[in-house]
Amino acid sequence: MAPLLQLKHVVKRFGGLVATHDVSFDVEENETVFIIGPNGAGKTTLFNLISGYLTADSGEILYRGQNLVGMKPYQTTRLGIGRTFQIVKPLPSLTVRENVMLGSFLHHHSWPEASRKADEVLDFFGLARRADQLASGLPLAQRKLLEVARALATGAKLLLLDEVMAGLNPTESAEVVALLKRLTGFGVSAVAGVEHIMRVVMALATRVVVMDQGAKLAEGPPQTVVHDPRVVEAYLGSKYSQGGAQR
Amino acid sequence: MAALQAILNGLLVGGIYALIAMGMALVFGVMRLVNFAHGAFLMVGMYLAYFGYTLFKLNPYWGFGLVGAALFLLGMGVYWLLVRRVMGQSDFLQILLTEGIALCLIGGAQLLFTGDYRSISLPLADKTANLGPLNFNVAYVVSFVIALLAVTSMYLFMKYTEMGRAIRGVAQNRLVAPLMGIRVQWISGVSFAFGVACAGAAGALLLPIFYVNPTIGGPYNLKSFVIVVLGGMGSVEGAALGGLILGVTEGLTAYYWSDSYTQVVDFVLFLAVLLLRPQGLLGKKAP
Amino acid sequence: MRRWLPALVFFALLVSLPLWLKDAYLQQIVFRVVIFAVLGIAWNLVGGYAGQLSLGHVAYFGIGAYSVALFHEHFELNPWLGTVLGVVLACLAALLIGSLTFRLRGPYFALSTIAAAEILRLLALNLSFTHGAIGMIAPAFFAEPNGDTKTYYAALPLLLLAFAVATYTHRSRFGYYLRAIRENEDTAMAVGVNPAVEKLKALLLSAALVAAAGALYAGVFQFIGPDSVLTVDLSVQMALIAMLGGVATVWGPIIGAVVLTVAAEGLKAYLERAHLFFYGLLLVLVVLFLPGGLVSITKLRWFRRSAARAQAG
Repeated sequence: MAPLLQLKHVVKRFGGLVATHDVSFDVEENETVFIIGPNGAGKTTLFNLISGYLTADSGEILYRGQNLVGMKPYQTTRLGIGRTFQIVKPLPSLTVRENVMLGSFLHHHSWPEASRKADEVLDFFGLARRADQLASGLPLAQRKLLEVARALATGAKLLLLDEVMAGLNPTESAEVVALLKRLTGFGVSAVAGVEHIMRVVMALATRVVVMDQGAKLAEGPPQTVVHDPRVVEAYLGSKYSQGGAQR
Repeated sequence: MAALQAILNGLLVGGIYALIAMGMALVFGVMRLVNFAHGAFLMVGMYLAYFGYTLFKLNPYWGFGLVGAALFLLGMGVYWLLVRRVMGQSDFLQILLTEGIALCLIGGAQLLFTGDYRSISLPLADKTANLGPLNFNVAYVVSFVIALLAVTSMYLFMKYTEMGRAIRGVAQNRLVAPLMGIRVQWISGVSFAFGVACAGAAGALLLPIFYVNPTIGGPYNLKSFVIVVLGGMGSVEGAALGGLILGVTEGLTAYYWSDSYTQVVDFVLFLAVLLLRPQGLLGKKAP
Repeated sequence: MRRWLPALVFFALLVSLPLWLKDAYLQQIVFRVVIFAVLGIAWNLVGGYAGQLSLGHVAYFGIGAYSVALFHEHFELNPWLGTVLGVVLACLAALLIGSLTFRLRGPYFALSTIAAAEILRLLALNLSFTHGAIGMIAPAFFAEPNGDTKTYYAALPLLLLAFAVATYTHRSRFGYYLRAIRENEDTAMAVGVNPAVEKLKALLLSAALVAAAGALYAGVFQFIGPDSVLTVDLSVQMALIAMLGGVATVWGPIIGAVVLTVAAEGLKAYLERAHLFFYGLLLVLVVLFLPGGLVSITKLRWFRRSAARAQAG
């Protein structure tokens, strides 16, 4: 069975700076792949390239065999790629339910249908009791969940989560992790995430891709990757990759 | 040869345009605010100069500094009472606020002065100097020279004084400026007042060669937009350049086509720049 | 069913008006309220829901008004046909203007809409077939007697249509998408919305309504010119009506039209030339103190506090 998402030699430049350099990896169905790496490694750029906010200079990004390069974000969403942003921006003048409806309207054209679907999603995320509140009144953790809920409501098969845990305290992130583990129940075939918090990555990932300065450094199961000396060197410097031995 | 004359006249008027537009460029550069009332403030300056002349025999060429100062104070007041409150809010509200201020100024002028066209006739205005085959309307020349002086002193002020540096600092990076000890609110107010003062002073310079009535600001408002966009939003030097270019373009349009089409050309130029080269001639980034 | 009660009462009132309001002067005021309500509702689609501050909407008004006059003078078409053609022309203009201007954001967009409308005004002022500054005479829609009253009746279906469009938009997928575009175009795209297409749809609807209103206006006031149907002031007025009543609401523009027209009429009795200043002042006050419009008064804190005090006391 062909992978759900395939990146093939993706290159993106900004003027003289190479943001992603010949990046290739796959995301199979039922996988949860996390992309990790130091700041500036090009992780969010990859998400922007996949979802269409940026266009790759060369290479291919295949989703179910279709090349996404050159598509606009609304086209990738319609194909089934849902995306959350690092800095969540719910629409403050709409209620929580209405925010999610923005997502469910994609496949449910009438207000009652879209509303019903939104309530389903809200229920799943434990936000049902806040459905009629204005989104601006939500605390951060709930706003993050709302962002994911909205993406889910579009009927996404591939969910791209961009630093969902940023800014959450351990209790909150544990809640979110628990919810994310149940995503397949909602028609999601695969999840790709960008994350800095290793505890979350270890808890959720079936596979990890490490990026450093725009290139893919390593990939594999989380336990293996984390102990890879190249990965340690990228994060902490060469002093630490030699198993802590003095130099 | 007549074309050359048209270019010359255009250049002279363009100097005044440059002064008007620089005020708007300054406000946009520092505050990211497009002041839709800019032309209305020009009109206020014109009326001040008019009454200065008719009531106190104050020649607008001498009084132009006074008019500028008066408009500076007015600008500070308007900033403190009104504009300050929408800084940081949506473009939508900012534009509507300055548009509302414009209507208040124009409407107020209509109430106080009626819609009558008024003009002054300085003895200077009728004289023409000759340089070879070219004619110089003396009033135009004097206005141009004073405008040029004003533009130059503003440039020097921006470059060499502490306040000027602070203003440029805020224009470059509004977020970081406070860390340098710059009081951004105060600088915004000063910049707004400066911008308004430019408009008003330019109005005083226009009075000898033009007439005034409450709606006179409208075309200059729009010309300022064209110039600022042409020169590059926020670029004060660009506005100076843009002013001259617009002046010459209008002069040539009037000569080859007709006077009434100069405004159409203004707008077409405006749309063309916005769509084809949005960063203008000297601007840094596209909108 | 109860939801429709205010609308039913409102329209029953309007429809029955000529029966109990006989004064021709007052009828004309109500006609202006109806026209401005249509204009406000139409502008609200683009400016309120989609958040695109168009200050060039008068272009479509002028196209509607001039179409009636031009097609009558040059092709002897009756004003009804002229109206239809005007609406079509306005929609074509909207397509052109929209596809050019919607590429721009914020003040650049607003300025470009002003530029587009001003180009039209200057063309009307300078081209010979529009008779320049003298203007044109538009034919009446109905023959005398009571031609104006009948035209007033013709405006009502237009208001009804506008109201229906607004009501539909407010609770539809289209309306929510417009609101998403207003708040954040990136978010809108993330949920599958093509902002360019939706904005154009809103503009087309808006332009059609505005042009029809312009055509009816021409039929009643009959003397039209660049300075009566193509001025920037009219565009600002449309924005003011929607802002005053409440942007992105169904009733807001209607309330705004009523309040503004009545207040302007009342003021005329005292100050002959004050209306521009009055509009300016109102705009400033609304922006600073009531950006949500009159319908949002119930949401203001001081209102709720004084209402609570009134209940307790």
